[in-house]
Amino acid sequence: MSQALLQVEQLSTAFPAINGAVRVVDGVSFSVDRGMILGLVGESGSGKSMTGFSIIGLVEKPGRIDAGRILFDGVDLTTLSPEEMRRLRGRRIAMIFQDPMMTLNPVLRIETQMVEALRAHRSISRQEARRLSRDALGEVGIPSPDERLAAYPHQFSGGMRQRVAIAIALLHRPDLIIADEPTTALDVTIQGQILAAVQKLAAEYNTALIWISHDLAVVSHIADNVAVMYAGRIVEHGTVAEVVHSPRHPYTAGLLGSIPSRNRRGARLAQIPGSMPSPHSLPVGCSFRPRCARADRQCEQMPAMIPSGAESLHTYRCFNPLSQKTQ
Amino acid sequence: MTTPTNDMASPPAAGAGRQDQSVRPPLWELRGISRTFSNRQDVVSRLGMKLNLIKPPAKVHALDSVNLTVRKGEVVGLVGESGCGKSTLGRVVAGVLPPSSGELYWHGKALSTLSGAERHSARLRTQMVFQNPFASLNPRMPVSEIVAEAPRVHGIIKGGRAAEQSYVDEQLRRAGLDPAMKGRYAHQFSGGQRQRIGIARALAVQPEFLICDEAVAALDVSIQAQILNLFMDLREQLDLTYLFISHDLGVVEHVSDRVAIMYLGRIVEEAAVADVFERANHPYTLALLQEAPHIETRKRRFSAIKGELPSALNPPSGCYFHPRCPHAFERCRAERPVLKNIAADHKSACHLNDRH
Repeated sequence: MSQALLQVEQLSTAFPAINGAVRVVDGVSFSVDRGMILGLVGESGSGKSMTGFSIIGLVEKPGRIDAGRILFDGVDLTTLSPEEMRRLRGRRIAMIFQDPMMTLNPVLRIETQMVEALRAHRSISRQEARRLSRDALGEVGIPSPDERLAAYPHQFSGGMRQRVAIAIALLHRPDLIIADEPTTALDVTIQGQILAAVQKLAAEYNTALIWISHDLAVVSHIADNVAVMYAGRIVEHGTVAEVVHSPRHPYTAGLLGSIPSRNRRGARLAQIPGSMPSPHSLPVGCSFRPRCARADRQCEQMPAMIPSGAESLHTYRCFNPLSQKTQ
Repeated sequence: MTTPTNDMASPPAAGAGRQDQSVRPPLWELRGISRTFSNRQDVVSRLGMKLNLIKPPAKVHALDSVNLTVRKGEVVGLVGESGCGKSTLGRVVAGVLPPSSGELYWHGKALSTLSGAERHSARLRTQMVFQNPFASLNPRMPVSEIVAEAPRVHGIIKGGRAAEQSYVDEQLRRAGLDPAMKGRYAHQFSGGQRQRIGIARALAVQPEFLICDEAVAALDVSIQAQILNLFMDLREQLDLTYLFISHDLGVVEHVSDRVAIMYLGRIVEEAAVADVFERANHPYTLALLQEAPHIETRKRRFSAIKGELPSALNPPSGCYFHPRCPHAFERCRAERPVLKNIAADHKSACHLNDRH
């Protein structure tokens, strides 16, 4: 296998608790190539955002990565010093957050923030930085970027603010962008615009993208591969077609069945009983066991990731998988 | 995708509420309802306005002469983007906000002509379930009190303390909660359970009409499915009528019999759910449908519609959608299109329908 841009191996992130450490990310492995989009899907508390934070080195203390490797372009990010990580962050790995106000400083003009971000990593003149900033705003579809540079974040609408955050993420032409629910707070027509911009830019600059979302539908539109997370672990991983068309893990199937969709108008939704367990009190064995209709004695052990077919990369973590659909 | 049918009233799926909607009597009717908001004026500026020294404050038309009928037993979905006035509409029907102009009709009678007792009953029989189950439950009350308070005040529970407790148990059980938890407080529950408490509270006064304002928007997909199923079960058990307000087209398509699409305070299209999703007429509806993500195994290129929702303080002339509409022509800039029938039970407000 040729070397992927990002290779995450058995990543675990833990927070200390009264009775030992609590693992919120547990043995997560995946890889992303240049120009590829990986969708990381899960419900709240599944560890999907924490996986993103772990890669970019933003896990808040006292949490820490306690096992695994994150190989980015051949370098293990977990071995870098905070200073080395800081030089990488923003320049080669960028992050887009759900709330653009997490990225933007409310008391500074957009121009100040963008120029500052550029000059933090590159020795360029103020004029040059301003020109690059203006071009970046134009690229993400902000009308009259010259005037908008002088505006403050509160003068933008939510969708426009998210565009500014994306423009800032793209400033240094990073190799990898981690997008954490970037369109969740936006209206559908604005979401469509943002997805269009991100898709275009990722293809243009051959950027690798990790798209973290709770929305399997959005991910199915833009991603190449999908990893479904549950209670800190990846439970199913494969191409969008494999996972969406032929889910093997009962949780993935349940998630797909929960989404109201065409042709099933008015029918009962296939609901998953119960809710996600707290990381403090995970059930023994498979974490999905208490909610699963297919669970048996075997599930009291933790299943490994099992390949779905001989050739495909489709893997799942289940002893009693759903049968494979043939196309 | 289109399935040609001549009979517009044919039921699209099983379910008692889905047939013969036109013959069901109207429960709530909105006729020309408008609601404007403006800054509160102090004495000086009011005096200044009287003397023509100061211009009157800018008004936001959250609702602009809206006509909508909700018939007994049906689920009407109300869709629109943030700021389009859909929540204001829900609040006006619920009686939380008075309309600035227009008239509400309850069971065919104008609300203003009803006697005090009748109006009281209209309000009590109309209840609301809110989006944020964290903000809409009193954090200092145990669940039993949250659910029991309203029916006690309105004299719905007959009998003493024991009767009240068994009444609460029944309400909680119906909403899918274990009555053993009724002594707990709201913060001790998960998001989905909290929404169930909100539903139990709304149903405790035995309403016939529920307004669900983004009631599942804050929930995870698997929990959302549980609550949607609960809404549908309750509808059958209690013969409820719903106004289901949501920005999520998938959810609205799933639960609704009829759908109204709002844009900047106006309803731009209204029809049976199958008509809206398979034979949409208004360019805005078409754009919304195109942008709404649904599970697909193919990658898709997004070709977004331009621009964003204009400010309601300064709306465009004519048809509010014309600056974003790919088909806009002269007339759209000048004249407001009226919402009118373009087929049986299918209304749309677009000038293109007059061009043949």
